[in-house]
Amino acid sequence: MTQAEKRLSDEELVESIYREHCKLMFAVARKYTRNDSICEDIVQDCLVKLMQRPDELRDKDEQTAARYVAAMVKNAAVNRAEHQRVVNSHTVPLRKEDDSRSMDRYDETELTLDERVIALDDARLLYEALRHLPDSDRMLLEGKYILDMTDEELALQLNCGTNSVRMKLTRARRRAKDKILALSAGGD
Amino acid sequence: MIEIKDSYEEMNPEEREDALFREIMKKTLDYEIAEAYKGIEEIERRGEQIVPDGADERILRAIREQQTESGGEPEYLPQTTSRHVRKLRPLKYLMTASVAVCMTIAVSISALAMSPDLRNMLWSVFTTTNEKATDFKLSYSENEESLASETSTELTDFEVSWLPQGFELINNTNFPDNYIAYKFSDKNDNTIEISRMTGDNSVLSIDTEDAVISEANINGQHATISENLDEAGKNQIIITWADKNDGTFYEVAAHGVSESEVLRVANNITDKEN
Repeated sequence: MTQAEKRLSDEELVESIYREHCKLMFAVARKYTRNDSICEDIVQDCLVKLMQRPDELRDKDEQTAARYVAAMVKNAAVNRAEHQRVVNSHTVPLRKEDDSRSMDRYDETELTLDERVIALDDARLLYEALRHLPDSDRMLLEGKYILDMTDEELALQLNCGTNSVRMKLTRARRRAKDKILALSAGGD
Repeated sequence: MIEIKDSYEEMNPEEREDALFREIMKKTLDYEIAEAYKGIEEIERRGEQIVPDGADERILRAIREQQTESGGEPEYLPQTTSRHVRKLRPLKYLMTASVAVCMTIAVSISALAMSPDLRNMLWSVFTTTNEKATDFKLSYSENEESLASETSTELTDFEVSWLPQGFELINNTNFPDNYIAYKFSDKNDNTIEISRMTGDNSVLSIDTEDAVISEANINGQHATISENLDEAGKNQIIITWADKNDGTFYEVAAHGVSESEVLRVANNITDKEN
């Protein structure tokens, strides 16, 4: 396949994704702003990014694609809403020794199987729990687990060093677990 | 229930965490997507549109243009400034600035090539240490501070009341702040350029390599005459002087014209009456 043919295919792929999910993309964007122009900006921003890595969605099923574009829109919307300021306020430069110390605590707080079952049982509960996480945590978790971003890409997005990404991810997961367990306990 | 792979128990703790959170995030997003579609239905039930009018066309056009321009910036820009545009802007600005600089250089080179007087004027600023040029200190006898204040005023235009037979005006450059010049030529491409410039720099340098230097008096002002051959083999004469009355430099540069004629031209330069 020539480069031109591949590009044409990429274009068609991105177009088809937009046509398939445009309502979803605008609906997610609208959760962050009522301004149509800004929504349009956000959607276009996502599509431009998608065109830089179209293979991420090639041969993916519809639900996976929907998750991916929804996460992208959320990501872009948060970025737009002064994301940088939010991230900076949550970003604390970490030294390596902090990293290892926190990893020990990570092992101590590992979810048990029962906790995992409780946590996974209610989608609404999960949504509510993660909804109250800091923007930086949610973006990190979605970037890592939905968008399959590399540590370098995550570091760029979070405005931190690559070495800090793993630590931030650990902390984000722990905060997410705490929220999930807290809501689970409250719901019983 | 979320399905966790059979190999879950065989994973190390970190792999398990990754697998667990991958499923958590998927489930959370699925819930959000379902909620979003409920919102879309609600909006459409009210007869409203979730996608703004014209957005489809604009966005799809942007995608196509971005592709056809090999990753360049799409022509369409929404009303607000989008982030990707801000990222791409610096590159575009840099390219535009580069083009502008190149054009400016090209125009400057053309201007210099067309106007020996302007070239000389720039040399006077930049090449005072050039061994092939001679620096002329056009000193003002009493008060240089008063000269500085005088030279900040706008240049007075001038005219020449005598020219050798056959010479006609072919070009006029007028920058009232610092430079006015007239260029005349005859049918044999012999030329005379007369320029007047501000005396902001009290040192004027002209090309005197292999030139014969002499002195003259032009309307009561001390003048220097430089005479040599130009690249075409024609006689080249440059007469330079400073007008002590208004602190400006004059230069008459002639090619293919006799010294006596050039001196006569210089002596017939007067301020143009309004």
